[in-house]
Amino acid sequence: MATVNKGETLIEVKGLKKHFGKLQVLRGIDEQIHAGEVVVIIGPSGSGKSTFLRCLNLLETPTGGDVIFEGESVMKAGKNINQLRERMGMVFQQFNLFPHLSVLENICIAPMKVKKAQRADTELRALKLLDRVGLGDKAKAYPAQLSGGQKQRVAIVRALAMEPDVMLFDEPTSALDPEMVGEVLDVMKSLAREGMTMVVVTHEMGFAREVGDRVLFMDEGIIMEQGTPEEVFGNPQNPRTQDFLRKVL
Amino acid sequence: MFSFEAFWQILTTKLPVFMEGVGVTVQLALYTALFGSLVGVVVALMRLSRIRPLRWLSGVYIEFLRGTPLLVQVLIIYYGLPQLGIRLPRMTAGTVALVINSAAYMAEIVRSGIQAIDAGQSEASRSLGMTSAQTMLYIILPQAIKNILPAVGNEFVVIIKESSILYTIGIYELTYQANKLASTNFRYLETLMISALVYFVLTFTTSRLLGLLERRMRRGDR
Repeated sequence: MATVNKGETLIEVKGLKKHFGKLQVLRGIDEQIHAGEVVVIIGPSGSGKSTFLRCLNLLETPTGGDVIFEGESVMKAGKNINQLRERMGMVFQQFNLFPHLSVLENICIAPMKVKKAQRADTELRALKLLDRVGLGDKAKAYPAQLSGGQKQRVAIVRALAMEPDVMLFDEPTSALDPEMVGEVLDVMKSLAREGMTMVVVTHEMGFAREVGDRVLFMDEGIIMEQGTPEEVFGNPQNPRTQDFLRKVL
Repeated sequence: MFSFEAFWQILTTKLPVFMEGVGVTVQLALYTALFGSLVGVVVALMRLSRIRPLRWLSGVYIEFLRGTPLLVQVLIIYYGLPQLGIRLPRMTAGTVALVINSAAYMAEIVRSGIQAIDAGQSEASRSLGMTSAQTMLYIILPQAIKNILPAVGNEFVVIIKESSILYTIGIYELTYQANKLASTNFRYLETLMISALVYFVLTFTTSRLLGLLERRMRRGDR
C-alpha cells in the first residue's frame, strides 16, 4: 500500500469523461487532490458533481480518461478495485446504513470481512469512534431507531473504521432536517482539522467557505472555476459562478 | 350421506394409517423446502448474473418449469428418464421432481426480493471494499430473505399440497394412504375429508410458524 505524505498528490484525475447514453455528464475533468486537502465541490444540480465523486471510487465507470489513486489506475484495477475502495471511504446522501445490522455491526462488518480484523479489536475501535461523534450509547441500536443526523454520523464512522486515506462525501447533509445539519458538519470539521483528505460535494456554502482548502465550481460537466474559498466566494471570475453564487447565497 | 359416525370411527381407528402418510408427506415437504430454496437461490443469482449464458440458462429453466404441469414433470422423471438409463427410486424421483419445480418458483421469489433492495445498500457495501460475493451474502440476501418470507411461506404451503401429486407414481404419502383406505371401506367422503383436514393442519401450522419467524425478524426495524 502506497503511503502518501501530506501535500503530495493522492488522486489524479485525467480527462475524465462520463456519459449515460447520449447524455454527457462529465466532459473532461483534470484535477489533482493532495493529501491532507479538503476539496469542496459546488455547483447547480445536474452539473456532474456527484457523478465526478462516484467515478473516483468506480461506483460509476468512467467512459473516458483515468483516475490515478495512490499511483494506481482505478480504471485498470480490475479485481483490485476492492483494495482501492478500502482506502477511499464514502458517505452518501441517503446514509445507506445496513438496516438489518446494529450500529456496531454496521461499523465492524467491513473491517472484519475485508481486513479479517479480530472482532474484539474492531469493536473496541468502533466504540471509540462512536464516542468521538457523540454516539457511544447507540452501539446496540438499529438504524431505524436513529435520527437522520445520528445515522449520518454512524455512516461516517463506518467509513472511518476502514482507516481510509481519503473520505468522499456525496451531499452528506442534503437529506437531513435543518436542525441536524450542524451535528454532521461538526464531525466533518473535526475530521478536516485532524488532516483527513476530504472531497465534499455539498450545498452548504458556509462549510465550503470555512473548511475548504479549495473550492471547485462545476457546471455542465466541467470544472468552470476553482480556487481558495476567498477567491471563489469573494471574487468569482466566471459569469456562471457569479450567477450560481448569487442564487444560493 | 355424510356420516359423522363413520368419520369419527375412521379417524380414531385408522389414525396410524394417516400418520404413516403424513410422515412421508412431511419428509417430502422438508426436503423440497430445503433443497428447493437452495437451488432457488442459486438460480436467482444466475438470473441476476453479469454472465449472459447463465442468465439465459436460468431464464429457460424458470420459464419451462413454471410453464409445464408438475404432474407431467413427475411422470417424465419417474417414467421417462429410465429410457435414458436414469432410473431413480420412487421416493428420489418424487423428491427431485418437487425440488426442481419448487426451485423455479423460489428463484423468482428470491430474485424479486434481491431486486427490491435499494441500490444504495450495495453501493455502500462495495464502497467499503467488500466484494460482490460478500455484499450479496452479508448485506443483500439477509434483507431480501426477510422481505420475501411471506412469499416463501406461501411456497412452502404449496409444496405440502402439491406433494399429493406423487400419489400417481405410488409414493405412500397422505393422499395415497387415504385413497387406499377409502377403496377398502368405501367411505370416500369421510376418509378423504380426514386427509383434507390433516393437510390443513400441516399447512396452517407451517404458515403460522413462518408468520412467527417473520415477526421475530422484523424486530429491530419497522
